Amino acid sequence: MFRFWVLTVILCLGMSWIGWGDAYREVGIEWINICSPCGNDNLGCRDDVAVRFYNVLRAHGYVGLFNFGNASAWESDFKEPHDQYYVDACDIVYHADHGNHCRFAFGNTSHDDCRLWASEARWGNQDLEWIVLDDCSCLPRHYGWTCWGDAFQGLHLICSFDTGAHDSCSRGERFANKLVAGWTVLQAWFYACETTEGDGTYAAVMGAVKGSQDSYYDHIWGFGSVCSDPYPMNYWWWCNHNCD
Amino acid sequence: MNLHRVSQVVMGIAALLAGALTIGSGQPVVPIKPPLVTPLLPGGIEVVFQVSLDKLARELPEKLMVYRTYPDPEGMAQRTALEHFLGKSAYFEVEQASGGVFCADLSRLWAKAPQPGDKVPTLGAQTLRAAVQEFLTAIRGIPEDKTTVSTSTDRMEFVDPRGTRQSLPLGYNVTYRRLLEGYEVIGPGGKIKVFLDLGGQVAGYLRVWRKLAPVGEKALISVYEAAERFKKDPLGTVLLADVKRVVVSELRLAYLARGMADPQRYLQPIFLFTCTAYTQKGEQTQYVRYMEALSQPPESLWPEGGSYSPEDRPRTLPKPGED
Repeated sequence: MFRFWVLTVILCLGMSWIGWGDAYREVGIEWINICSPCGNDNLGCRDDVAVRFYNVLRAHGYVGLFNFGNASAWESDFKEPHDQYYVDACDIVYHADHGNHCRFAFGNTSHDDCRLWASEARWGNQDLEWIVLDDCSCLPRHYGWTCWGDAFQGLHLICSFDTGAHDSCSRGERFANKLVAGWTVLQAWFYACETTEGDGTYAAVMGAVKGSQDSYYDHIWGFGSVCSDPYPMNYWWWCNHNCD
Repeated sequence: MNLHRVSQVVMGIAALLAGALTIGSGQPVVPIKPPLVTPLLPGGIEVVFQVSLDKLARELPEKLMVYRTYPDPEGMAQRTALEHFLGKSAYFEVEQASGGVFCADLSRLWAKAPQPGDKVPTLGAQTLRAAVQEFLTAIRGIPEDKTTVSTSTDRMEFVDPRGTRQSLPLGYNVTYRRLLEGYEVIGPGGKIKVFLDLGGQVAGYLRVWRKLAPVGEKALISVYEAAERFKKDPLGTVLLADVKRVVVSELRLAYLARGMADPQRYLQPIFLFTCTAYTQKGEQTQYVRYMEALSQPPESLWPEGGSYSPEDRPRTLPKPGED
């Protein structure tokens, strides 16, 4: 029996060391169709876009940590100290509502409020590698995206938009299908946006680099290479893609 | 992943237990309730038209052709030529809903990033179009329809902690858009697009070019009615928050093509509003708003989704202070 426990501990530590990290891969989603409590128009596809993403990853070995929607989606899940039990307990998170420069929205006014601002985000100091903000204009061009610099505390990438974008039902699923096919996170995001958006929309991705560790080339866990946490970073990068 | 390895293992086991206990056995979350229908009034968004509605009312037609759509057989027929051009290992997919194809050399499409300090020459539109012309000729993919052609550059920006900045090209796109009755087909479909790498070599190809058959001319709403609808709902399905002012810089008729994976029975005219949204703080964002132009649209512009329920809170995961 003693030998069994020793082997189990060694196995867990070994899995952790080779990059399985917390031994399991976790996904979490928060989506808001009923946006009016926080001053935005209601939408019809925010649930579809996030839940279909969630379903694909769970069908490919990811543990679903949370699927919070509408009033159950809380801004406090995305910031310290609560994020260690929610957003920062996952490897990948998908948020779907409205957004604007350096912030994204919720539909619940009391936990804690309606907007998560870039200055409040500290991600990756526990687990989070990748976050998708399927919200307009969170990563604006001409260095407007640098507002998210301090959010990178081990975080690898933010996938979002440089400009306006539309309420697609299928973008999350198309993104997830390419992630589990072994595409890089950046390739999968640009592809998903290219096939669900048109003129006027630019997708955008922001990442960090530490030495030779560049999250530009990240796949998700289990489907290709992942760089070690780029923190403290040497520099941040941002890129966009014209979906027209 | 870099901190607290051992605690992460423990958290992982807890997470697995939490997942197994609270979420079930990995069954997909399925729609369980009808769609939400709660149209909202925009919160007092000021709308400014920089276009002359009177001039548009004089110029735009009262009726426009509607087309029945069918899957495009040409994309699949190009597969061999595409594999010859991009290599046997190139990724290829075809979507039955539209007959649309996507093909790419994934070792080159969005696959290599320039580094800070790199000298990357920017390629001109003529060079790009020549490369694309050669490619489309080789795969017999030059569209027979009337088209517009545009080029664009994807960009990469760098900043280090000292604030040093640099901007470089990341890749290039050449897009052909179909012209019907003199109006452009826009949206996620209705395009032939070639993606080029930094060296100007073709790295990927997208074709969403449904076959069309004219159904007949249908009546359009007036540009004044479109403007009134816009004033009531200037954002539509655009995902922008905190907008206080919208400036419409262009208003035109177009046709809207859905994306390659979405079924579409009819190609119908729409009004396309090109806008800039401003917040109270003066932040500005470009966006486009699509609006049905037919007085009796044959189908909705976008496929409708299902409706899903979230999980209930509180979660079995510990709250801060409870662990």
